[in-house]
Amino acid sequence: MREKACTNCRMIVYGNVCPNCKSTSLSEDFTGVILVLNPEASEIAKKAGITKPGKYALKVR
Amino acid sequence: MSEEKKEETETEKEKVAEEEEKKVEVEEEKKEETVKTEKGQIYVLKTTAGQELNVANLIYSRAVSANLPIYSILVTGNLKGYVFVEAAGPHFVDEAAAGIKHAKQRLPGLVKISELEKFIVTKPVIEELDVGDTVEIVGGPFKGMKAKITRVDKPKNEVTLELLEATITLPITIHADYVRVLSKGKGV
Repeated sequence: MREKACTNCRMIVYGNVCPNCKSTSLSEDFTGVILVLNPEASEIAKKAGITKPGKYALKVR
Repeated sequence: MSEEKKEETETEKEKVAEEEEKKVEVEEEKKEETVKTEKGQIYVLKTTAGQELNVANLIYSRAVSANLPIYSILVTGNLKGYVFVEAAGPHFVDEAAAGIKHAKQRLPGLVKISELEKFIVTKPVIEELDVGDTVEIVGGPFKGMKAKITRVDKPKNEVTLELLEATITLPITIHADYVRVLSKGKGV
């Protein structure tokens, strides 16, 4: 199954429902990826507004 | 007498509350200090063009399995051949990238977060578009064609274009994300 990005929280998921925000609004058209391991210590995650570890898209169409 | 006692107990309560507040403040300061020491630096890793995501995924899985102090990995969509790794030290990046086929080398020096801001916080494309701009279509059936903007619909996030390469001037309406500005027009 292809990777999809949640249009709501931008998390990259494999299924049909976002495990983060339970949204079903997913898109295959996204660019850029941020892989967050430690959101408390990461400046990049803070700038992107990410609070949970995981794989996120930069931009979702 | 009972009123005086009440007052005394109230003042005691206030004192206890103040002390507790001070304790909380001190604890918060300590927490902030620990966070400050944990802060990582951003390093740049050169990769084979087009393989940035594979390299990032491999570094991610290695960092998780080896419990390395790598905080985040950034792959921008429009910068080919580079991956940004935020880690506690350069040797952790080297350790995570060692042996990965498409990871070439770690560039010397650091990247400031302010330099990466433009990649992380993306503005909607429609904000930068105006009537009269020459754009290139980057997706859909008209991909690769050049066109001129004739109308911008901000609420719908759409632009109406006139293709420059077509023999007949046919107006087409497409999503603003599928165009890239080539040159700014004078505006109408």
